[in-house]
This record gives sequence, C-alpha cells and structure tokens, in this order.
Amino acid sequence: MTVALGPYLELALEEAPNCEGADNTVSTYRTFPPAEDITDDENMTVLEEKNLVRGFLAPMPHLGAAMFEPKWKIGKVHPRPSHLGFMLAWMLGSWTSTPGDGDAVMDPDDVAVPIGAYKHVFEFRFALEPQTTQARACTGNGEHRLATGIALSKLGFAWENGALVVEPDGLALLTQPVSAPDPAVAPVIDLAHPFRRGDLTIDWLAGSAYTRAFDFAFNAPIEQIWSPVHSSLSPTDIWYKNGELPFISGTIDKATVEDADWQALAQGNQFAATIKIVHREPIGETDYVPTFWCVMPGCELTKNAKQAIKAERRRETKYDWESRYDHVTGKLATVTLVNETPAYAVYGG
Amino acid sequence: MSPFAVPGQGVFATEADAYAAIAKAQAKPKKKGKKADTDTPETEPETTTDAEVKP
Repeated sequence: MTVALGPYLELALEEAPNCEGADNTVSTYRTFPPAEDITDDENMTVLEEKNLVRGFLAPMPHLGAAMFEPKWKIGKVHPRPSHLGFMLAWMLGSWTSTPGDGDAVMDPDDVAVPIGAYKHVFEFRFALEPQTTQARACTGNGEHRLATGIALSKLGFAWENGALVVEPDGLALLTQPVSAPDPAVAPVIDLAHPFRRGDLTIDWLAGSAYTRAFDFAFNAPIEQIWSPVHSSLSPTDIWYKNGELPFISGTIDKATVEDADWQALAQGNQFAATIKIVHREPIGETDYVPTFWCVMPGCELTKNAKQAIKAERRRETKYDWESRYDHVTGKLATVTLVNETPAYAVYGG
Repeated sequence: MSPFAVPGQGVFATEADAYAAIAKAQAKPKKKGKKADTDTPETEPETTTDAEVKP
C-alpha cells in the first residue's frame, strides 16, 4: 500500500524579507521540521463604518479587509540536529559555518571537529532587519498556505516526553493561500532521533543548590512596519523592535534554598554558564555526535520565587535568569552547534 | 549517520542524496495525457425493440 503524503511544513531562509510583491531570493536549502501544529493567522481587521450618520438607523455593512497584521506560530517543533541549526539561524540571524577538518577546527570543549561534520556558530544579529523565512504549510487535504517575511521574536526550549521541543513565535509580512497549480514540493524527512532530556547538562553557578528543572529561550522583540512605499494592506517591513534588546532568558528550579544563589541575585554577581545538549547518533563514520552549546559568560539571576515554609522536607525555590553583557569577553552569548548540515542559506545555484 | 526519507522515493544516506533523488524524479518527462480534440463521435448500434416491430 502506498501511503498518502500527509501534512508538512517547509521552511527556507530569505535573503531579505519578502513583503507583498517583493521577490527577494529564497534559499535553495529547505527543511521540513516535525511540528505539532501551525497557526497561520492573517489577523485581518475588517473596514467597519457601522455608526456613521448617513440617514439610516441600521448597522451599515462592513467593507471587507482593512488591513492585515499576520501572526505566525509553529507549535512545538521536535528538532533533529539539522532542524535545530535552521531554527537557530532563523532566530539569531548571524552565523558562520565551518567544515570540520579533524585538526584545527575546534568545538567549545576543545575537541577537533571531524571531517564530515560542520561547526555553526550563532550570534544575535545587529541590524535593522531580523533574519526572515518563507514557510509553506500543506494540510492533509492538499491545501497549501504560504507565508513570507516571517521573523521570530522568541524561540523557547523546553522538554516534552523526555525530548527537546522548541517553540518558535513570530510575525509575518504576508500569509496567503498558494494559488493553483499546487507546488511540486517533495519533503525530505530527517530520520534522526530528537535530542533527549537526559542528554542536557548545565555548568552553573558554583555552590548553587541542586537543580530540579531548567528551561531557556532566545528573545529578540520585533515589530511590523507599514511604510507608505507601495500600496498594500499587509505590512511592508519587519524590524527589530525599537527600544528592545535581544536576550537569552530562562528559569531554573532549585531543590533547596542556598546562600550562593541568593547572594548572586542580591549582589548582582555575574557567573559563566554553559548549556550543553548532546545527541546520540554519531556523524558519518566518526565517533563525534551532534552537540549544542550555549556559552554565556555573564549570566545573572534576575528574580526569585521561594515556596512558603511548610511542614515538608525541603523548601524549593525558582529563579529567573538572563544572559547579560560580560565586560571581560565583550559578549552576551555564543551559541555553537556541530552537526552534518553544510549550510543553511544557499541563495541561487 | 541519520538517514533522510523522501516520501515515495525511499531512504537516502545523506540529505544531498535525498534532494538529488527529488531533482531526478522531477526531471522525468511527465506521462502524456489524453489527446485533446481527437474524440470521435461514438456511434451507437441501432436496435429495435419488439414493440417497434409491426406485425
């Protein structure tokens, strides 16, 4: 029996954001991440003139679309190593990819990246415009939806059923049905396993209490702009939000209340922290497994919520944390992923 | 190494091989459809019923 092609999501980076009528190059590297659902909301406002004095005592008909403020949300994505790199490139917007040579190209643990593996180093982009993506979603009954100029304001990392899930949330410039004929898109499904919760480790503040749970997110607030450059009911530009800065944040649950944590918060002490997630399937014929590092040299605890004192064995507590600028290294954070994907943005060719 | 699957095409060792298979499949000439405007009018054999046969 031949199995029918089911719903899928296809993502490709854009060389520059595509608003209505724009034709900027889209990467020929396409990826099909496993996602739980896709919310493709035009967010349309209709043109209402109900209460005008026009000689009738009745609500006047609305006049159709006034404007669109497209929102785009992909429910939880269960990324494989190839997808994780794509999501990081999309979210952070600035990266370099280096092929491993088994010698001089080193990972953050000072291990040589072997031939056949690729090291991707990501940082927050410093520009007006964030990295945008084109997304094509297909429903089970063959309806294709296309969204362009999608930028992410947040990429959350959490755990579900023992596996890593990422939650991308963003805004789009344009979302619309794809007109017939249907595009000849053939999904390529990465059969690698997801990252497992058990393979997360963190290097954290010395003397910190025992960690129960940990999550984190990349944040870069964005906004849609309606510039009168051409006639369109949809936004013309997507920019980083003025007055907001990119940051990495998260929460950490502690089993007990310890002095080291409280002192770090109360005294504003920065500490170096590293999040590391390793995969279990080696790259090619090597022993090297795909690995993610988020190195934050100037982490700070920003908020604390203690449990009430109760007739219990322990008093648990939870901290909010953020990566802040580190004066010594001059960095906010460096994110590295080693996997077997050579490049995420291939324009032309 | 993680394999990559292309629905209807099989499983490939690398992502590049998977995309090459797609390109190859899409490059194949499509099967020709029915020729247009060449239909010949069907002629139904005339039949007579008993009722039409005059005694």
